[in-house]
Amino acid sequence: MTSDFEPRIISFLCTWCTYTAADTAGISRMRYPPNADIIRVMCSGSVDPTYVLRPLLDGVDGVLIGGCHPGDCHYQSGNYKARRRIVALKMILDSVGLDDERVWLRWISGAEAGRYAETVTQMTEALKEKGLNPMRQKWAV
Amino acid sequence: MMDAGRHPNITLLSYSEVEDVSGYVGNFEVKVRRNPRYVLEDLCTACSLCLEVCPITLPDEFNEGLGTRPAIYRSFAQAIPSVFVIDKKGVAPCRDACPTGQRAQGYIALIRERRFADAYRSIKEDNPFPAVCGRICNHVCEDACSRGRVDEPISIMRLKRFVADWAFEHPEEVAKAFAPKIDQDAETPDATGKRVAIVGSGPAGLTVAQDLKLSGHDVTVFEALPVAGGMMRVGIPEYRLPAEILQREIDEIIDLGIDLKLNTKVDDVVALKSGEDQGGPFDAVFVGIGAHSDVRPPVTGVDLPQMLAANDFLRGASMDYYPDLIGKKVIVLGGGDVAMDAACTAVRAGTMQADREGGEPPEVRVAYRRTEAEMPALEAEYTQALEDGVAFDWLVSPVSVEADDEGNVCGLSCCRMELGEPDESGRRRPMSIDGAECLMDADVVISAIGARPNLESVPEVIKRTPNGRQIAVDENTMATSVDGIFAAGDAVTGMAFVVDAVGAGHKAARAMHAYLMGLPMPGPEVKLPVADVSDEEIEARKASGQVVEMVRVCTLEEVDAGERIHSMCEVTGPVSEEEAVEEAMRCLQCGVCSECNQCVYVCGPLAIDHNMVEEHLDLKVGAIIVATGFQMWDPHQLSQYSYGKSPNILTGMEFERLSSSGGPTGGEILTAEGKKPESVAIIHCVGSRDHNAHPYCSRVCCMYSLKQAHLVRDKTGADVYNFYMDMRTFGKGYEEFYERVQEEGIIFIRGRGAQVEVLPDGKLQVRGEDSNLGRVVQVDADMVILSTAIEAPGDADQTAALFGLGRSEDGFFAEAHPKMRPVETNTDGVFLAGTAQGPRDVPDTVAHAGAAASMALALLDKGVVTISPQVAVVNETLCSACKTCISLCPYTAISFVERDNVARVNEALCKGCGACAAGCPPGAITARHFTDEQIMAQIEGLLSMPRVLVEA
Repeated sequence: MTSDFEPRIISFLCTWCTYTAADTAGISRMRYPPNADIIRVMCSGSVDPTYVLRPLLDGVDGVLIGGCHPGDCHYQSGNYKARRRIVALKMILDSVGLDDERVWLRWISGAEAGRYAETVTQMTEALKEKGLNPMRQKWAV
Repeated sequence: MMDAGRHPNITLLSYSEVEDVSGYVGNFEVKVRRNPRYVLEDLCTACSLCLEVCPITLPDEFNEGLGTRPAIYRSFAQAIPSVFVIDKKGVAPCRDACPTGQRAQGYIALIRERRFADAYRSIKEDNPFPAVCGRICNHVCEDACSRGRVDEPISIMRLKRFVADWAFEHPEEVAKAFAPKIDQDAETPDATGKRVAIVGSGPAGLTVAQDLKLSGHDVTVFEALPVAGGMMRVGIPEYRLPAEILQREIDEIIDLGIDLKLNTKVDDVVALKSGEDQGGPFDAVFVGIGAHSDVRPPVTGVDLPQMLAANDFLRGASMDYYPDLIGKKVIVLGGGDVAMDAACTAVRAGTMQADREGGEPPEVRVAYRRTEAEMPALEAEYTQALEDGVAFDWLVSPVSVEADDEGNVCGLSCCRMELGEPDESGRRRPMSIDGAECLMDADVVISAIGARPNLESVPEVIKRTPNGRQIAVDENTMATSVDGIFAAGDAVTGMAFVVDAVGAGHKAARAMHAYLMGLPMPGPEVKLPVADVSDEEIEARKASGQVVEMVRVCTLEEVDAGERIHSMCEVTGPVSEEEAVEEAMRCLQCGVCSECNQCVYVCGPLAIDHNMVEEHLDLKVGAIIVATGFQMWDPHQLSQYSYGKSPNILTGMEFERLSSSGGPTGGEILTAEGKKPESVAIIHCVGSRDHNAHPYCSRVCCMYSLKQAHLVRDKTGADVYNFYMDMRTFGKGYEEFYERVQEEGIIFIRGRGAQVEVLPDGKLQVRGEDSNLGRVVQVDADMVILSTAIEAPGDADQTAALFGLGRSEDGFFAEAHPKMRPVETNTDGVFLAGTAQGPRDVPDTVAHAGAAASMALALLDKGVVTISPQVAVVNETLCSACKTCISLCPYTAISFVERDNVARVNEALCKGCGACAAGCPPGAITARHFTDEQIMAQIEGLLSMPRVLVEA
């Protein structure tokens, strides 16, 4: 894979924690790769597995779900629901031969702007290593 | 603050903690625990008289530990509400263990302060017989004493004896201690005109007599014997409890104005109440007849003349009547305290007879059916018996008392025993060994195997306990089955200790007073929480040197055994004043407040209630403002500042107290040596702007350091060196103040103070870089002030969980938006004020708090709450009634409607998290404004955009 490959990431960020962290990262003028597009959701627990599958099948290189730290969910237990769903989803991805490493679930609180920037950087790097999502080749976008 | 405290619309719940918050904006339910203050807020006038009498000394937290305060205190003079509070962890274990509730920690604290007369009053509060219980108590308090986990328990009983003996020798000082110290609102109650008869003048009867007399009732005590005191007088031998000492305490009670009728046997307690032949009728009768009947051993020969009951023997001895014991072989049956008393009394009586009339002293043996280990007698009594020359035969049980031809006792046939399985008392049951009989020589046999009440005078109409041996009573009121007749003491419990009878007597007296006055009868006693000193705390105190392992100071001198058996003189000698004070110092003060009651005696408005318990309030509120503040960062964490190594290295807060006119030196700036400092260094940014501590700027330190520099210069004229990194004078008028301080001749060194060294002579030396000069500077100082950081309180985690708050990276509570919403939080209806959100000075805090109040008012004033439109909705035609959503909703906003067989969302409760929408198998639920279509459209939109990467 050529080194100038730029992966596309779609991220679903919980409005209370990780979305706030992304906001703060911006306010703090932090620098991180522009590869991740953000879709704001109320809670990581509201992320339907189809929201993850659809972009992957459409050829996006990675999906990031960001939620509050365990115990800190604004809705008490939404992040636990997300955790269960994503574990199940990854098992399905794995069983049908898709790379479950393309889906990241991370806990990033509103105060952790640096961690958000770091996570996006790491994910971009990791996906650069992996290269193009093979789905992109099967279904032309 | 005063205004807030007085405002009619503000209820101040001080000394309280929020335990739980539920509900939502506009409809919060808050559970609040009000800790017991032990002072009634509406009565206390903050007159401070209690401060002077409290014997407890504790470090004063408000003065940063630089001064001390008593257990009853007010944090500072301007505190709101202006009332005192008692620092009490709970009832001390010693008091909790004692049946009379004796405030042992209280009188021990007073002994430590050498206030013996006050200690005596404290003891008499719960126990009318200090001199008695100071000698012969079973002292369960000492078993409970926490000091026992360090080395040995405090000699509580002996300290009581010391106080009682001291009080007898200092009647004037005692009278002064008991004299009213102030006009108290409640005075001695008027005579009620109610008449009470008390049958039996033992510890229970006399306690009831005292209590009821003090409540204003007319009390008559009937005693069958020619002496008062019950078992204390005729059951406990003279050498353990001199009759003269007992009589002193009895006289104190009788002198209250009680009619004591000695030699007056009551034949029927029910008839006594109604009849007129013995001075009746009475409004109430108390039966305290004790347990004076012997339990006879089931052996043959019990009717022989030299076969004695211990009770009869001891009763006779107490009135100087002894059988002839010269040269006799005496066998005492039993292993309890009474057996020891009988044996030792027999030794003394026989020896004294032999001394007088010539002949050999008696040979006394105790025969017990178990072994030494199971013997119920107190160890001290057993040891004394051994010293007195009493011999012991273990594992023998009497079978028959043998008589000679003239019908006199000549021996005791016994059966050898062995120990079997433990019985219900936990002791191993003795079992006879078949055929293992033995004959012991004996001229006199004294049976001390128990006693029971003689219920001849108690008619059958008064119910008995199930075993038929004692009087049955209600455990809360000590009332018998007959109206107006109460009972307590050995007559109810069987043989027990003086403190048990006194405790039960108090209980009976309370109930009888209620009965006589037509008040509601007392229910079960409220069990107050017991203060426990944990093992960790003991270890910590040992480590800090506060507690040093040592042996008991109060080791009582005993009269030598060879000497004491020739008379009935008291065996144990007195406790000296020095010993008592030193022993009292060993107390760990488990309860903090010792409940000595001294504050109660001086409180004019009767505002002190030591029995207060915590209260729980359920409040309904519309909005919550969290203003939990900050804590000072602990400079021990950066060792280069040597904090704690010299008393002249202070934090900014400590210096603040030192320079305050309400502080420990009255506002004089003095070193620990009491001298005015000549050179003072102030180090800024200790713990702030430091990646080894807190990276943030604490904001307030520059200005308070400047103020403190000004104060030092102004009050002492000392040289002041300020080590600063940057001077942050961000507020209105602040820069002008900085300039003024510069003009006062204060020296500013730009650079972090790097190190404080304590020199061997105690002087301090501060080093740091002066970055303006580019070289290291060194300053000698008499005092160093560390301008320490402020940080989020240690319990911010719990507070955050309670109110649903987020926290920023610095640990303070997170506002909803750093720029646009600085007082709101992510939980609607919960606002932040002051340093709870981040470091700020007073003007900024006031502004922030004002904003929080406005936000809350705006919310409440509307009367209605605007909720977010982002709620979940169910498409009922798609709903498959699987109920998955119901378990997914953390707010119980979704209910299942049986009639329509669908799930339905309560929009007022729904918070819009969308968990149900994501989990709904048929996709019937959508989260408004975050529908699948909207999300998918966003995904598609993003994917359709050409990837343009912008490198900023």
